[in-house]
Amino acid sequence: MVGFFDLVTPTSPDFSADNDNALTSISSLYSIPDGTNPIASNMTPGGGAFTLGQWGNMFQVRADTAQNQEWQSDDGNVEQLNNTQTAQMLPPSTIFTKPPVEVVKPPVELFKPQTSTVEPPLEPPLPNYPTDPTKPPAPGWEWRGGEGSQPGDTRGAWKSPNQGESLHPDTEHGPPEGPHHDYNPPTGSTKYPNRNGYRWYPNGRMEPKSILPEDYV
Amino acid sequence: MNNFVELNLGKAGLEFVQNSLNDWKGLAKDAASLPIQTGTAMALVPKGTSMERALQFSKCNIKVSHYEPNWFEDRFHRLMKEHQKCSFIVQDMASISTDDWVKKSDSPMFFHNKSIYYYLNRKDFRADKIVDLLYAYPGSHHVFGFFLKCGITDAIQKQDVPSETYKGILDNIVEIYVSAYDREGHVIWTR
Repeated sequence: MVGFFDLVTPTSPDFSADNDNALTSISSLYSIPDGTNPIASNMTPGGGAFTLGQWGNMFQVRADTAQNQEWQSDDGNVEQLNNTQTAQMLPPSTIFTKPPVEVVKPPVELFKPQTSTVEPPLEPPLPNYPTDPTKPPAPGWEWRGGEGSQPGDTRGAWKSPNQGESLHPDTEHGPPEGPHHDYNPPTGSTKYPNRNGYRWYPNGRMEPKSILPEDYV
Repeated sequence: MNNFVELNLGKAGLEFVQNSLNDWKGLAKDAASLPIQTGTAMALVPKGTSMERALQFSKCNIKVSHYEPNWFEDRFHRLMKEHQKCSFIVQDMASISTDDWVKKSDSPMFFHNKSIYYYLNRKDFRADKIVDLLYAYPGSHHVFGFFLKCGITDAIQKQDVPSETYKGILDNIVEIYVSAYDREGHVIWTR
């Protein structure tokens, strides 16, 4: 954003503009760009409303003529420089009665109460981590596995017939993941949206497996 | 696709497919009798993946195929050009047809000997549906997908298919997709 004094150069130490004649006063005191050329080397034509630099909250130059000029700074901020013939200064030009020495900027909410963007840890599907993969993790869960598979081996999973979810013991998994259970949520689960499943670690942490592209979750 | 390559896994890949099929039941088990060793086995892996790493089929974090859902669609569309009729089915390795949740589900599926098979016909060969089927439906650690050079009629939705139909499915398998890399990717066998 280009600062005010980057745009308008004082030509006189006497500041006497008043509300009714702001334009004249300002024009006589400052070299205000005519709106046909970039007012700063880092500005290019663009779109949007013009706010004069760092004091933009204190005053603006506004106009509604076809001669409005727009400039866009290199950093992408769009600023519009109006034709000076129709410009109005807001707020009253008493701001310019003396060169500003100290400016009290309007309050900016820099220290809004912080709300955490960190998602709370995902709750495991069952109250307790299955410590014995050979036993059902909860009443009613059944072992479903490959040919000759036995409960707890690597070729099967505990299945909850009511929900369609399953838990596959992966207790021999090497680092960095280490031992865990693979939890495959039921279709359409909103609590566990990553349908590629989760790793459930002995410390209770649930971690989504490679997440499917957003469109497919 | 620029970041991924199709890596031919050679004999080790074929062994992995054969052993994986042998380990299971239903269509997977029956497909083990196909001439697996005369086909090819490949995986979609990130560029620069060594063969040694690609052959570690149970190791995760290889970040593979589902990051390229359009790759599946392109592959299916290529196969569609070769086969006038085609479909894709995925075997649920953990559920059985009598599970309560199955009754409530409206997913396209059919049964054989209590095993559940989800299916897609060629009109539904879209990236989202393919990936959804390969990753979302089967609530198991293992996934087997079968590309068929025959269509599947919606009349078999939630029906127990007769043995002749089942045999027809087996005979028309063109490709088999076996989950690998801790279910984060696949090894694909082509007949």
